[in-house]
Amino acid sequence: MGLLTQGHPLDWEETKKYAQFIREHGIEQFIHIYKKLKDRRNDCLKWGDEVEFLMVRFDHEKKKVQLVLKAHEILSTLMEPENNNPDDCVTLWRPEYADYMIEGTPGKPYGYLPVHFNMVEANMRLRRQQGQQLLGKDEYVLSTSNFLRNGCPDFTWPVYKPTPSTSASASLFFPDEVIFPDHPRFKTLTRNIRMRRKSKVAFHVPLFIDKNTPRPFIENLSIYGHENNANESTPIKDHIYLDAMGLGMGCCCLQVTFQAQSIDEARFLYDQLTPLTPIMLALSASSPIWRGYLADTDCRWNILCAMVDDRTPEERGLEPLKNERFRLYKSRYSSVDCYISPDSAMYNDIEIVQDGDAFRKLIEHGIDHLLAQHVAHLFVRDTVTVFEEKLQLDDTQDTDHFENINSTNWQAMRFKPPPSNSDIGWRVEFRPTELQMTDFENAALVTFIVLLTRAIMTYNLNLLIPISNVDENMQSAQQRDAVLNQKFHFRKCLSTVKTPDTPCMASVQKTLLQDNECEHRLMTINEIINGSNEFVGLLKIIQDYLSNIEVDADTRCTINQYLNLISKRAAGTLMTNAAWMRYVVTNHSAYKHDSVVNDEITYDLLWKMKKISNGEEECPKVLPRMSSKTTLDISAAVEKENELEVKRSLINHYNNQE
Amino acid sequence: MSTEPQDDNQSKPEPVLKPFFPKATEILFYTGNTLALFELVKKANSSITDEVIEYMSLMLQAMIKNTDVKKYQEENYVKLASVQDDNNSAANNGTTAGVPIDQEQLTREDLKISVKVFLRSLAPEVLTHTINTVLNELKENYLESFMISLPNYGSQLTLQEFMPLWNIIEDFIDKQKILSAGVCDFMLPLLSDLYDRAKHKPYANQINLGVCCSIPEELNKYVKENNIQLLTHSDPIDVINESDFQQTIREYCHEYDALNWKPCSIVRYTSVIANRGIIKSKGFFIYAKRELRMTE
Repeated sequence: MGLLTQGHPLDWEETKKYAQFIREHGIEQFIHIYKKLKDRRNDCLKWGDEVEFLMVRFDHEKKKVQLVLKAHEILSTLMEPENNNPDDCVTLWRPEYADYMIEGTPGKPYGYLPVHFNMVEANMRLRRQQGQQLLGKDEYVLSTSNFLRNGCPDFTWPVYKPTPSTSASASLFFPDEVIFPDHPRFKTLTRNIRMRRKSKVAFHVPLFIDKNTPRPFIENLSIYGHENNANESTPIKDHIYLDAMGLGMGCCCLQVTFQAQSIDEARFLYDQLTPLTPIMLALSASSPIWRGYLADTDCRWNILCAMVDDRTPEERGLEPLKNERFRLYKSRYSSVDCYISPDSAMYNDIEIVQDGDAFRKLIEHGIDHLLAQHVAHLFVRDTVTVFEEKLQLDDTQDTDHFENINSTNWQAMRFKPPPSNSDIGWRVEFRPTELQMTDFENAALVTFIVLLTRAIMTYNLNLLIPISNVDENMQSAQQRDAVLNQKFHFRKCLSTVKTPDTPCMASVQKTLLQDNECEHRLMTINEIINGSNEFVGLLKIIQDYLSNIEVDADTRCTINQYLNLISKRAAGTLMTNAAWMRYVVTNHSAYKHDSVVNDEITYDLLWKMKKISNGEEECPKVLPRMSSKTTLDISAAVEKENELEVKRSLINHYNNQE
Repeated sequence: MSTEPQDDNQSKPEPVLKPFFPKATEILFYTGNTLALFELVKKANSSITDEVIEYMSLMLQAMIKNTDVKKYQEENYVKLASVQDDNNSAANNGTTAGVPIDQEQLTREDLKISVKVFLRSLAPEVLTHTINTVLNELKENYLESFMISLPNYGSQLTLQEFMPLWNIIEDFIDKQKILSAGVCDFMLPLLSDLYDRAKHKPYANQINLGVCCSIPEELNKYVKENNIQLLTHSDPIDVINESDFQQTIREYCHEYDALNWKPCSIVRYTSVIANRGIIKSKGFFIYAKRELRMTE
């Protein structure tokens, strides 16, 4: 979602001038928040998911499906309950980049009760229904990462033609009208990113070469108004050319946010979840088709990195550094660059470009090296949106300038300080997961990751491997059928001998292995999830954890279904969404084995996905047959918990009085 | 007679020439917090039986290594306690080290202690002794949740046989030593008979994971109507039998040390941080008795 400040954004020439201003005040604001809230303790471990939905419109006569641009029409209705009664909604809604997207979260975060795991899917289903109710005939809410023909001619309803010479993105494929119109942020970002970069964003997705694919494959883009001039990037042979922020930010994803008990716990979670980002990316792969072509990759991640890449040619290393301060190795949308807990320092093995002044200032104000480094790294980025009403702020109270930069660094994990004037705690966002076509699968992925964090905290596990290896894994994860074919660096021994001191931890861990033995090795997803003779397997750890807490039968049944899905997908006996979509396309009668996914194929595939997501059709290649026991009604469990709480507080009261 | 080493993954001690506890008629193994020993690369599919045997083995080995051979010679009641060394006080206190968080000590109010007893004897004194042992060793005034499991008697158990045990539990509830208690693997009509007769109703019935997705409709209806939680477990019918128990001792001790033991109760306890879903400690008590022939 990002920061949704209301107001009037400045144009790029004006925005540019505030780069240093925002930087300095953003750091100032972080320092204030840190000092004020570094000792904040929150009782509860809270968490919640975010689902971004697509809206589509089927034309059954023409066998065509288009993205329907209705978010601006229906969001105010969706947001009514929150506006009327903010403390008591079951779901919350937000706009997203494109007018065909709506983002929903549960009304209240989930907590520590096991029964909450039984609510996730039901709440997701409710959100889907709430959106669906507001749509017209032949219009449907769908959950998948990327609309297959995003950027193809007439891909939206209403139809709009791209106007590359005047639009914010200058894209050949993506008209400005597709961008959510009711908030200036998205269009402003689009334009400013392009202006800062001094060219359009560009990415070339490797094409899946099939037996009838023209060789070489080079698109003739003149039909889109492509001019061969210096400002245009040229398509590369055997690749699918993408040139708009919307082709990346118009993808839907699945996120999980955790609220930790303390800043230290948040930092710990951030680090421990980082090695899992590529694993979840591989398991959730659901983006094999781009602009109507079959790609040779299964995920959206690299595309997104490129579609908001505001780095200038100097920053990208294409020209020697003259006007820019730094050579930047990654886009502001990227995989995690560094761990942030003091104990993790030894695993930060890639160069972390930092704003030196920011770093020094943070250190001066008592922030430790690892956290200072993380923030100083985020702040190498210039602001790309400034609102004139929000320039002069009170740095001791507001956090908009900090959030300006923090929320426009899109990494696989995000560390989020508490917002000003709330009692929300320190949080981390888990961001890599691709969106699945059913609520069941999305709930399964969310449940898996949350249970894993509980197990990590219970058993004091350590999953860390060098950051450079996590980066390699992120690339491996996106390969076609990575779940089946790729190997990933993963830590061999996850247990730790307990010691709180940083200097001790390193030497203690060494004693568990032979001298010079590497702490990690390459494993398949199957081994990581299901284990082997030499590795315990993440599922085994979770099962162990579950056996030690009291879980009611329905919740346990649901969790078992979810873990069963994860297990089978890791083993390859169930397909990823990406693999299945490829399968449907390549077996479609209209497919010519030329890598082209035309309107008819798209229509049939999405219609199938619609039926599967509604339970009208089964999909045994992807989903197990049984359904979960998910429900929004947890009153019985909560009542029991409350009964116990009353007894406990009476006892404690009694004991304290003695 | 010397013991026969059965596996040689550790350096085997010299053959045991004399029994360690020749007069013992009661033995208690208390593991302390086993989370400190959580070794993930080991057994991929350890059941509670495997865990219990493994911890017994570790404690017996520790006893042999660290204790003066005379210590238990005259004892009738042998208590073998936790496996960690004393330096690991963080583990004993149940605080989480290694996770650089939360330097504050947790108070009792922050924790929720759950206990499940696998009873292999219907003798009321065994249950009473077990509950008292748990309270004393854990140094706790009360336990939030207490589940009783009677694996060998399962479906043949009658209310007549069970009520004396439930009455003992009710006493502890009256004394506020147990806050809520439940049963395991009870079907109808036993569950409803108990519910009707009990002064303190069971708050939960724990059923095997294998059936959690196919609960009989009338049981489902009954528990919902009577506000009984259906929880799940993946424990076997019998945690450890005489033969395995004795065999485990025989592996490390003198043959006479292993003779005749009948495990009477096995307890698994966990303490969870009350509103965080994080397990703080987990451990076991294994209590056995035997009769010895008088020496001539």
